[in-house]
Order: sequence, then structure tokens, then C-alpha cells
Amino acid sequence: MEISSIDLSQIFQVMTTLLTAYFLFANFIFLLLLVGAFFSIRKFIRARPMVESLWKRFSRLGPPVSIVAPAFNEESSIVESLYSFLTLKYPRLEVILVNDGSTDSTFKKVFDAFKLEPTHLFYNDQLSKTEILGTYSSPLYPNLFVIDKKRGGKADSINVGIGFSRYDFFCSVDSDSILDRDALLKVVLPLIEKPETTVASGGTVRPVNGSIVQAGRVFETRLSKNPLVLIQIVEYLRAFLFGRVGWNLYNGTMIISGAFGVFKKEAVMEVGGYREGSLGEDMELIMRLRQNAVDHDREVSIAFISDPVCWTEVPSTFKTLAKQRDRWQRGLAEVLFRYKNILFNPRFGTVGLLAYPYFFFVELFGPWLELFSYIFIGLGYWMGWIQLELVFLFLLVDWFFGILMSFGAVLIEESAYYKYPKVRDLLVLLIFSFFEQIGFRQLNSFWRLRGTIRYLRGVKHWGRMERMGFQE
Amino acid sequence: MLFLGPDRLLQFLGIGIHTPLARAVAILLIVKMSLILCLLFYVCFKRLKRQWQRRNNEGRADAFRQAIVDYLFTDPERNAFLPQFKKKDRYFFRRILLDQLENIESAERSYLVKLYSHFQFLYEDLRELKSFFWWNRLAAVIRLEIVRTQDAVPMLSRLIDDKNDLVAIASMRALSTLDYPDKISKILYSLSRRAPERHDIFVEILTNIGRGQSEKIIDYLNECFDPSIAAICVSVLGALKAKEALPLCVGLLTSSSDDVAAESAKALGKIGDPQAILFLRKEIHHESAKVRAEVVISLLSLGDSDFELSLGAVQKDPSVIVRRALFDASQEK
Repeated sequence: MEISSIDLSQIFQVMTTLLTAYFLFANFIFLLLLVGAFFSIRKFIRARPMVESLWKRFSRLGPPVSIVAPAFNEESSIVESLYSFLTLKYPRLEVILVNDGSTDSTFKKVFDAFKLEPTHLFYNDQLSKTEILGTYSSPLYPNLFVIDKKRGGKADSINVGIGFSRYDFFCSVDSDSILDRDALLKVVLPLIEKPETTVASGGTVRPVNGSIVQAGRVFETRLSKNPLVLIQIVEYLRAFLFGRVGWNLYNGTMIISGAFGVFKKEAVMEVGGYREGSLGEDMELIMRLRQNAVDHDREVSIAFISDPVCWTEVPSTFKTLAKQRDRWQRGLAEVLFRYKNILFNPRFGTVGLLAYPYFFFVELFGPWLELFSYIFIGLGYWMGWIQLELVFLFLLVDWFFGILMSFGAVLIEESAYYKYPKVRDLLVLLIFSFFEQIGFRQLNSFWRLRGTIRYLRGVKHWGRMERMGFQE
Repeated sequence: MLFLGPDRLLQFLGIGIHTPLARAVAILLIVKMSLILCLLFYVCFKRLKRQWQRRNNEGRADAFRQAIVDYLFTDPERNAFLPQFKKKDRYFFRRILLDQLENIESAERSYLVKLYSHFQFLYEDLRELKSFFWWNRLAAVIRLEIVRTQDAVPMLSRLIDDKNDLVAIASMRALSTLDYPDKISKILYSLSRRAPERHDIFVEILTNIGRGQSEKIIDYLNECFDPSIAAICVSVLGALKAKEALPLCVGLLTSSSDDVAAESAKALGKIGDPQAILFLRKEIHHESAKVRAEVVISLLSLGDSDFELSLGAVQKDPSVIVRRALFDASQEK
């Protein structure tokens, strides 16, 4: 009995050391991304006079863009979102709303607000053969077109939208989003600067909950009073301002958020459009674009710009958030398993050697390891097999390092973009950096773990998301 | 605590383990804490600066704008009523002055440039062009572009070959708005060498150069062998509706590059001369769908009645690009 206890103690000590080493490695990557993101954003800000002077003139030269907005049961936010898209500061654009068989009053609200009239539009059915119920235009806004179709899912709706789009570039946006007035002008820039290689470009997504929205614009940025939303604000800052900016610096972008991204239509059509039935259709498309480029021995660039902002409503209840995270994790698992050939594949450059392994080992399997390590270390300490100091070391790496990273994201936001002008807001975000790492992250890991299990069990449906609209 | 080394830090945290892993944790912690602290100080500094500026900016901008208007209305020839400002407001005043310069043309503009020079801003900008930091050089170039003064030509000409791409391109753009001998060949040569893929700037510089002197672009195009640059030149000539480019565009309809041929067809439509109809009709069966699409759009915009009678054939074109072009052009018509 004594010998087996000693053995177990040694096993626990070694395992705890390995788990700590894993989290140390993950944190080292975070640190690299943080430093990269900071310098990348500083460089961007220093080049801002040039970029701004370009934007002033660019308004004459910008290529026309089709905004494609798929909508399914978005009655609470659809009209406000459409106003946001229609009043963007951009020389030539058309807005194509695709009503994906909504069962609520989404279509009626749009019909009444924009006084829609039936019209005839050209449709290229190369990407989707779903039945179109009607096409409409608005006498109030000649560049607004509404497509009413049978339910086919988000990917199918965007494909239909692409089929109706007239221009060479399309911008995919969520119908529960608000774009900053110059967001499109900024996000298109990489596609103009390097048209030969850049096929997609994305911007930052931020939670809109709590802010004042008027006539399709974020009139005043405010923090929500809901703690769950505050935690998500910190989380989004971390994900976009140093996660994506950092990966972009090394040309390792693997995802352009479905909520806001501009694509070269020709490239997307070449790979067959969005994959229908996919849970992570935005990431899947990017991976397919990358795969296609490698297959054809072409250079490809996916750009991410942190400045243009798309404001979106984030879940304000635990139930909705759990569903969302579950779906995201299933989408991530589906895409990573589908493109497993990229793992450590040098032909994919940074994506194959760094970004994909990071997503695979940290984003996909991180929740498993995290929850396992809590149980394992807790049990080991309770049984007296692990020293308290080793537990401290683990918590230092797991919790404290995480808090520092969230702190870093909030501070980068403050140093560069200054979206929350009140000192109180800054302090609130710094305080919620603690809760994001201690409490929320563990809960999120549980949801993600459940999502992975549900993916392995073959669960495919999206789940119903409840929307509150832009006014809290 | 952070500067005492990993072992002391571990001791301070009550962790008595000194394995390599523990040391690695401590080192990473030191690095992270140092970075976050630096960032925190930086943010506090910027926050204070912003607060201070915001408090003082209210009303100041209006006062300066009024001072500039007063200056323009009170005999600016003799600098009779110069705007007054404190030394600390110097750069704020410069910003307001540049805003005005961007929006004012004709005689008032020359007075404001004189004012800019009078307050030594021009001298400072020219000095900044020699700065070691590229972002300082860039900001100075952009300011000089707004001021549009011949005094900056020699310095800007040198910056065309700056080691920073942004500075070089900004200098080319600034020079393209000024008039001086040999500018076209110098700028376009440097531009095609430095940043052929920067289509946006390329188009802008060509448009600046081409306003009123599109023959310069035509000359450049005649010597250009890069199809992507040639396509941009043709597109600019079309946008400028340069009638003198008609023979050249007609000739380029049969270019071996589809991009050049398509842009030529598009440009002919924009130039709007019915003489082009005959040549465009010949390309209606071009093997590239892109060219056929542009030909269809141009023929419809030029009002070719014979072509309108034969639209049925185009509607059966195998390429969706051509069918869509026909649909859109008909709708626009």
C-alpha cells in the first residue's frame, strides 16, 4: 500500500509538472502574439496619417462592394442594421438582404420600413439552387435588394446573396450587426493594396450591448450593466486585438469573422462558396481558400485590420451564451478535423506550422486539458500527493498569466483606439479581466468541452439564439 | 520585486521550488509583468494627455478658425492682422491651418501658404523630411502635400527613393500634384519600380498627373510593357474621358493581355465617342468573357442600335459574366 502511494505521488508530481509546462507553452505563444499585436497596432497608428489621407481620396477610387446580409428571425434588429449598412461612407455599394425563411416578422418589418416592391434581378445559381420566393427593391433606397428564399441555412443564404451580387467584392455581415460608418472603407484597403494575393479581409467585432444606437449608428459607446456582457467585452478585445492582430502579423489568419469580412467574389466562387451545413462556415471558407491556394501553388493573403469595427449583440444570458459557445466549439472541431492535413504541413507556412497547431492543441483541446488538470491537481492535493507549492505554480501559470493577458488586451485597446472614453469604463474592464479568467473561463471551458463531445456524437444543429435588439 | 530575478520572485510568491520549470514560469512572469506595467504607464500618460487636450480644445479651434478668416479679410498682402497664439498652441494652430488649406483654393490659398511659411511651419516640415524616424518623415510629406508648394520639390524628389515604402509613395503622390519639369517620367518610373501592386495610389497619382494633360499618360503608355500597369493607365484615361486616347484604346482592344483589352473596351464606353462602335462590335466574340462583358456594356452605353437588335444572341452567351453585364447595362439604360 505504501509503495503504491509513493508511485501515485510521483505520477501526480510528474503529471502536474507536464500540465504546468503545457500552460506555460500556451502562455508563451500568447506573449508572442501580444508583443506582435502591440507593435503591429503601433505601426498602423503611425502610418495613420497616410491611411487617413488615402481614405479621403479613396472615396473616389474604391471598388464597388455588395453587402450580403443573411437573416433568419432577426426581427428585433434587422431594420436598424439595414440603416447601418445603407448609410455607410462608401462610394458605391449595394445591400442584399437574404431572408432565410424567417418564421417571425423579419420580412414584414423590412417590407414596411423600406416600402419594398417586387423586382426582377439577375441570379447566378452556380453556388445555390435553393428556391427563391421573391426578389424586391426599395424605392427609398435604390441600392437595397431583398431576396426572400426558402430556409437553407446561413451558408446557403450567403451563397444566394453572392449569386445576386453585381460587384467583384462582397462583404458578408450578420443581420444583427452595426458597422462603423467608415468600416467598409477601411476593411477593403488590403484588397486594393495587394489585389493579386489578398482574397479576404476582416475587421474587429465588438459587443454593442449597452451602447446607444440611433439610426443605424453607435451613437455613444457605453458599457453594459450586465456582468456577463462585460466579461465578453474583455474576451472579444483579447481575441481580436491581440489574437487576430498577432496572427495576421505572421500571415497566420485562419478565421475572418462571419459577422464582418470582405471577400474577392471570384476567389470564393472558385472554391464553391460557403459550405452548406457547416457550423463554422466562416473559418471553413478561409481554410478552403488557403487549401486551394496551396493546391494551385499560389500565394494567398488573408488580411485582418483591427481598426474597422462591427458592433454585434452578444448573448446576455448564460443559457444563450452556452448555446453559442457550444456551437462555436463544434464548428471549430468540424473545420480542424476536416483540414487535418494542414497540421505541421510546411507547405502552408505559418498556418501549418504555428497557427493550426495552436488552434488544434490550445483552442480545441485546451478545455479538456484545463478541466482535467483542475480535477487532477485538486485530487492530488487532497490526497496529499502534490505539494501546495506546485499547485501555486500551476495556478500562477493558469490564472495569473491569463489575467495579465486580458489586462494587456484592455490596455492595447485603450492605447490605440480609445473606444471607451470614461476612466470608469477602463477600470471596469480591468476589474472584469479578473472575472473573465477566474470563473468565466472555466465555465466557458466546460461549455466548449460539451461542444466537442456533442460534435463527436454527431450533433449538427445550430440551436436557437435569443435576440434582445440593440436597446438593452 | 520584478528586477530581483526569478529565484527571489518565486521566494516572494511563497513557492520554494527551484526547478527549471519554476524558473521558466518566473522569467515569463517577469517579462509579462514588465510589459503590462510599461503599457499601463503609457496608457496613463496618454489618458492624461488626452484629458488635457480635450479640455483645452473646446473653443480653441473656433477661435483659430476665426483668426484665419480675420487674417484673410484684413489685407493679407501686408500681413496686417496676423493670428496670435501661444507657443504651446503652435501645432494645434498648424492643424487648423492645414484643415483650411485643404478646403480653400485660388488666391486665399496662396495667402494661407504664405502664413504657413511665415510661422516657420514650412521650414519645420522641410527639416522633418530629414528625420531618422519614418513616421515623422511621412507626416511631414503629407503636410507638404496639402500645402502644395514648389519649395518642397527638391526634397520630395529625393524622398521618392526613401527606404520606407510609405514615405516614398507619399512623396510621389505629393509631387504628382505639383508642376515641375520632368515630373511625369520621374514619378511614373519610380512608382512602377517601387510599388506596382499599389493600384490605389497608382490610379490616384495617374489621375493627378492626367488632369488636363492626359497626353502624358498616353506617352507613358506607349512605352509601357507591363500589362498590369498598362491596364491601370487605360482605366485612368477612361475615367478622365480623354478623347485623345481614342485611337490608342482602339488599338489596345486587340492586346494580347485580356486585362488591357477589357479596360480598353471599358474606356471606350466612358469616352463616349460613337466612332468606337465599329471597333467594339468586332470584339463581341472575343474569347475572353471579361472583354466580351465590357464590350457589351460599352456598346449599350454608346447607344449602338444594331447591337440592341441582336441582344438575343448575347443573352445566350455561355459566360454568366457576359449575361450579367448585359442585364445590368440594360437596367441602367
